[in-house]
Amino acid sequence: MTRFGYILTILVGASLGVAACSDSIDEPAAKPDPGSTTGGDDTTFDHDNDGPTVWELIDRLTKEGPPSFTSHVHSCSKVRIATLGQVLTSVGVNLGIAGTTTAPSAGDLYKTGASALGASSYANRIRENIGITTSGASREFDIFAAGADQIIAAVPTLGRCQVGGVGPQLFNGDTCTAEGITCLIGTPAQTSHVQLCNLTITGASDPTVGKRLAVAALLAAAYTCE
Amino acid sequence: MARTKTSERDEKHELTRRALIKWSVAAGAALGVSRSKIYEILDKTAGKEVAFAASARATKRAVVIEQGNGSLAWTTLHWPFPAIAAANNPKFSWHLPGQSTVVPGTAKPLTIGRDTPWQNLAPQNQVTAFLCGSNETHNQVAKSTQTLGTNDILGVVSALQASAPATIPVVTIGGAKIGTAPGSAVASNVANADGVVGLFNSAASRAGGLLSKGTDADLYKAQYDAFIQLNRAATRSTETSAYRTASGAAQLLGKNLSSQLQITPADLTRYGLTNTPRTSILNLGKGLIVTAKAFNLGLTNMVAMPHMNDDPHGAFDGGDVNTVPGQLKTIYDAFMADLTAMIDSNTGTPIAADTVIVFNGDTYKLPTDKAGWNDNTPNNSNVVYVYSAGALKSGWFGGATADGKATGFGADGNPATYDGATTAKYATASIAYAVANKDERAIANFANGITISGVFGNPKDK
Repeated sequence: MTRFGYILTILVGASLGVAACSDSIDEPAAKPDPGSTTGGDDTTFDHDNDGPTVWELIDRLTKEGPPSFTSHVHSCSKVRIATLGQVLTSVGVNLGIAGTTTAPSAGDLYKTGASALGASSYANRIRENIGITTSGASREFDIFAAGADQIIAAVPTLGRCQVGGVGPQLFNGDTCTAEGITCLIGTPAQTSHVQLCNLTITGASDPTVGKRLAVAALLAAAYTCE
Repeated sequence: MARTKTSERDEKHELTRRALIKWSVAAGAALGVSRSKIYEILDKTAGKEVAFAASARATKRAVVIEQGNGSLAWTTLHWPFPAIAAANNPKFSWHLPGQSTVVPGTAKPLTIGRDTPWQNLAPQNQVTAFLCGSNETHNQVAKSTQTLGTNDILGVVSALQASAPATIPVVTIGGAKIGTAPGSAVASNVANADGVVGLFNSAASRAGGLLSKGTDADLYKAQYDAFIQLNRAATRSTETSAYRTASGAAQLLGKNLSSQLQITPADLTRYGLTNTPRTSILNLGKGLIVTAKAFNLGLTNMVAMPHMNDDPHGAFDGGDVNTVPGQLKTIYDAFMADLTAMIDSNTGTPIAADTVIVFNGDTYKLPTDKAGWNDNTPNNSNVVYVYSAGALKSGWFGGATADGKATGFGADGNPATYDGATTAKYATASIAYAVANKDERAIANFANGITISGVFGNPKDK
């Protein structure tokens, strides 16, 4: 059933119920009084006796969609390793560039980070992890941090962000641009994004570091969940 | 049975005390007051008992050594079946016939030999061994001895440990893995012990890295938290847990703890790993070295790692039984010494007192014929060993007999006809009980009516 059909069914059902019973929606007769299901804060769990109204339910379904849809969509699984590689490439990271032992490149961190990122191990019958772990997220964020310089340099030439063959600048002097942020995170930048990005630049130990921090944090937040 | 007025009052008092502790710790966290300071305040205001209860760990840490592919058999050379060792039969799979002793003072029989680790522990702190589950030869991870009801026992353990937050709740090394249970954590897997160090050695936090300055690291964390608030779905109940984990990761990114976790030459010497041991022994030793350090820093609650996975059919024929058990003993003794020397800054007790160590595997091999050390076991049985720091009754529940049979045990802990599935439930529920610090109520949802306290476990201190 489509979302519209789902809502329509509930609305019709609700209106029929209202028409059949009374002029107004009464509270359920069996509903216990507030506080009547708890003995004391320390001895029992204080149940919430307020059930959802049909209007609240409709409102929620309108915003979130039916349960069969929300259970699939409204959860936060990690970005798959292969997907992360494609994201990195698409924002201008060259995964083939090698760093040094003390300063590994984004490509190095990506290629050596399979275990931390939750890669599958078919020999041990372990599939790729889909949950977010501290180790996986920190490795992903580390990759974004290491690749920040490459990304800043690449944004104006990224095909995915060009309009009429012209790409956006990520920074205008020491301030962030909405177009550049939109290019990075893949959704229209809000005013808050730009303000926070500017705050990052001004709050860092120096503006160059601040720009890299802003890029790393923006990407980390945008790609925390797949 | 009806409760007495006194027990009802005591129970209510316990709940009130718990509420005070809970709210004190929560308020302290909200105000940025350290846990140790909160305990000081509780000590002054609510008394020593409440402060002590607040500072005690609700759950123990766990180390799981998954002895797949027959390597569980090595552990029977540390803690042999009492009847097999007592038989003094040179044909049996016990490498020290005539050289075993019975440990006095354990709740159940326990026999040790030259290569038994932790011999200096008090009798009540010696290992507990369960003959349970079924033989699962040539598997890396046993299922029959790792299942409690419909849940994986290691998943249950991680769910119980949720009350003691750690940076990375569960770490698995190599092919070790944990299953799931309601509320269980997702394990972070690394290839080897160096990988554990790598978890806390981000490139960004190293010298010259983007977050090498503390102020920049703090700014990064703050900005990350601010940016995720702009994701509309971030506040949905189905997503908050994941974002909370990711926020912790953003903080971890700016901290470099690798120098404190790094394995030093002194560590290798203490663990007897300097004389080019075989790779599997070296990996096990390094895994335990890093585990002790990670526990000491409060970075994780559980580490699961593989054992030798070497299917040692020729251990007796080739003479490995004369060297390998001794090498393993050195590693385990050094690990226990580390855990004993490391003091938990919150509780003031040795970490060894709040750690559970589990050894399980696919098969312990035939105990009554050392030639070829075959994979078959009496009544198709299996074994789980547990160091519980005194939470469980020490010694053997069930065991292999000298005439090649398996003796099981019942719900009362006494000998009974061997039933692999039932005994495995008792064993895994006992592991949960030990990790839950002898709190039978905490494991009730998983143990499904199995009574551990007083049967397999020592009752909780009053």
